[in-house]
Amino acid sequence: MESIENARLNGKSALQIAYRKSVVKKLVFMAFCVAVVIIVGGYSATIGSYYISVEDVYAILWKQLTGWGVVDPQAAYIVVQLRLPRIAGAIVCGFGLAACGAAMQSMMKNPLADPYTMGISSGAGLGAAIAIILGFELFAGAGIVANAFVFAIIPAMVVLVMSQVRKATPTMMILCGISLMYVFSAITSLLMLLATPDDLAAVYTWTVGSLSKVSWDNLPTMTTVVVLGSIYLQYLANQLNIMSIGDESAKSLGVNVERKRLICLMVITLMAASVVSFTGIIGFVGLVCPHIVRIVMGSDNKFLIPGSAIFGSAMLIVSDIVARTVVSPTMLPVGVITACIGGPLFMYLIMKNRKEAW
Amino acid sequence: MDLKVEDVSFSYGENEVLKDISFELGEPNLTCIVGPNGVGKTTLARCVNRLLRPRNGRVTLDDVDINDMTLRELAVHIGYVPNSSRDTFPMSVMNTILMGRHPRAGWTTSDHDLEVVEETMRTMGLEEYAMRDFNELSAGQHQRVMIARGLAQEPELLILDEPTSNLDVKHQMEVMELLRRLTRERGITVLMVCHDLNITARYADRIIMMSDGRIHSDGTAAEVMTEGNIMDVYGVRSKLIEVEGRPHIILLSTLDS
Repeated sequence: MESIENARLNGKSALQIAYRKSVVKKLVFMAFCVAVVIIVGGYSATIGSYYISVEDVYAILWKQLTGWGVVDPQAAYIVVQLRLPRIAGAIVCGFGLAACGAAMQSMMKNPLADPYTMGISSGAGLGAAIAIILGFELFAGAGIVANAFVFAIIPAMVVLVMSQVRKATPTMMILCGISLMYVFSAITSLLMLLATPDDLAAVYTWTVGSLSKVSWDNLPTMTTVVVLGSIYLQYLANQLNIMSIGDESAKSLGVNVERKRLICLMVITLMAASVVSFTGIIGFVGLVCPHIVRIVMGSDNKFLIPGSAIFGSAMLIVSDIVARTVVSPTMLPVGVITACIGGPLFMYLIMKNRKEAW
Repeated sequence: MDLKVEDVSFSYGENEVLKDISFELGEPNLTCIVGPNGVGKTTLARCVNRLLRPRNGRVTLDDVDINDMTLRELAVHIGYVPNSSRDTFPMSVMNTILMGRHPRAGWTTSDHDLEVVEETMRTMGLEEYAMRDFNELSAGQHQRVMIARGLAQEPELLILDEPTSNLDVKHQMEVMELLRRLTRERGITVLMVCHDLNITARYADRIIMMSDGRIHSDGTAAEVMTEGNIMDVYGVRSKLIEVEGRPHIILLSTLDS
């Protein structure tokens, strides 16, 4: 009895301390992921046919950022112009897809949701196939990217139109996305029957995703959309938490669920589409990163979204190194590696995790 | 707080569930809605909270139509505790209750929010579960967490949909005593849907008895809980005895038998 009374007297501060402590733990995990991104990113820039040491890479980056120091111009060119875009691409792409995945799972109340569930990837694939095989460009000169982008956002537009007629429930959204996915895949397959072997190879390469097409030219667009989108999702974090406990509760807590869900869908679609149309379809990051991070630091979206995003960057940057080195000089598609690393890691964590996480 | 329900009707498709319901909630008290299954109790509670939109009539809060308020404004005044809830993803009890702060809080979690959450946890006897996952708790604990979330909202009107249906007798009585205490100490008006006639008769300040989409009778326990009314509404023969100044219902048999 006495101990209960004591706990009650001290409970106030104890609970607040416990809460703040749990926040610190989450921040530490995020800081760790940031460190991984910086270290592995630096290491990644040393890999290639022209050897550049780790110290030189950081010296070059330092010089690039601050203008201080003396570096070998040739090495600097290789790092900054050739290797850095790819690394930055991995960071942005992993960040965007994983943040989208976390938000998507919460707002759909569905652990299987990811940015691609909405048919974004197959839409982008169809757009790319149309550009490659038929040579048809929606915007002349904009090429594959514009086609992929436009087709990737079609599913979200369809859901938006349908929501005018009936309530856009998560189930309706997912089913709509999946049926469009089948339609897009079918048309893509049909187009592939018409394709020349070269085009076929190009479509195939596009659908497995690669960071090699990322350059300083297209990086700013991708980064801007991902950064703005992530800020918005982070701003919505509390509401996403509330959305995941059910529509009725959410409404009575003052969240206009149906409208917010549509807005989120649009934002997520734009983010994922802007990444995918430059890199092709890199799978698994958006689905698995949020789950892994959830095991480590729980489901509070305020921490889950940034945590997943940074973890996504780390995962993609590591996968990219593996993809480039494992059967060097041949480069494997990075999507293959994310699946091969992510899948077993995820299954291991599921087995190890005694708590019922979802 | 002054809530007026004026001529509210509601139907699911062709099926008319509420027919011209009118009542007022004024001074803080514990009001229970009772009635047989399918009579529209939950539907009524949802109409009051704008989870459902009445086909006719209107609900006003301090003379403002609730349809003219944003959901967030409404959530500051009215809290809602659903019958059951399950998380898709694991949330700690603490975080679940913290969600109740959403209508009032900013983006960050302030010390004040934590204090309120803590106080409601203490009220509901949930401190020891603070960091446990919501999904790991028992049904009774779930309901206590949901009530705590409603309290953390600090509403003027708290609507509960059968908050005691999963609780054992002692917890039922504790929750009812707590709700009644809230009306006295914090001036909260509590409107709850309840199934147990004896529990209702024991604790409610006011009982609204519904029958077939209408209000059958409305008043104090002694006024509403009569053998005649129970016969009318439930089709059950009963005998009423008075213990400690409250009516107690002893159920005898259904009309059919």
